[in-house]
Amino acid sequence: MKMIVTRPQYDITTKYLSVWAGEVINFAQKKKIEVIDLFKDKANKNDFTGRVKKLKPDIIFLNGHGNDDCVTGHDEEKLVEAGDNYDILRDAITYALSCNSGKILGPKVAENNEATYIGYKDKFIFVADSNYSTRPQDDPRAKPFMEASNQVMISLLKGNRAGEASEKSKNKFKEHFMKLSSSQADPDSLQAAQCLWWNMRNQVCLGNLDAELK
Amino acid sequence: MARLSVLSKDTMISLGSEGSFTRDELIKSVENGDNIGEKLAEIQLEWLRSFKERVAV
Repeated sequence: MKMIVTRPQYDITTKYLSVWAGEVINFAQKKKIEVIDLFKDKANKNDFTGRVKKLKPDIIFLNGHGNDDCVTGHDEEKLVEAGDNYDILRDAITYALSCNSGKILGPKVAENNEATYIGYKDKFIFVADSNYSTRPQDDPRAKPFMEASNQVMISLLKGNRAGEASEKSKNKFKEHFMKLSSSQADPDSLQAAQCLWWNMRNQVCLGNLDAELK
Repeated sequence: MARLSVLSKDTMISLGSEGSFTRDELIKSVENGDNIGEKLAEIQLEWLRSFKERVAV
């Protein structure tokens, strides 16, 4: 089984996403899954397209910025786009941890009955503590967001169906939301709770919801 | 605005490709009514709607 991960890293947001994606990579490697890690400038269109076409991965984990019709790699180079190479995702389960791509790119990919696309139809937002920007993996404010997001990948790697993996992730967002909402006296927790709710509401699972890793 | 002003100084919110913003930058955005300020208002509205949903559950 093969997994391709894109992990651009050139600003605070991509640094957080790429570092936390490391947890998914470790989990996959423990399960003896072959991981192709396109890190930093390796997360470019040529490398990504070439690897996907050649290796035909079962699962693709995109981390980076995005908009309605694309997900980008290092330095915001478009890796996959609705009007261009979207069909390279047709044989895999894709999870895009990026903003907005669940709006146009996701539905375009999911036009193929076999493809699955999990993403966000609006911004993916997270709260962080600036004191941890050099070690995002230890940031307690970012943890609920990254844990809930990673739940999609962890569930898929455990063999859950795509629809179930997305549900489990949404439940994780909700669990953290409830916990932080109850800390009414702490304004930081309340702000984080609002953003967790936002992400939960905007996560979409499109296409073949029964797809699973075999 | 009042709610943002009581956030810790170290709190940062990442809004995708728009960037990451400190408390003071967020307050300025709300004051200016720019894209970031509007998005924060949208997030808060969605959260307020959640009460209705949670009551229904």
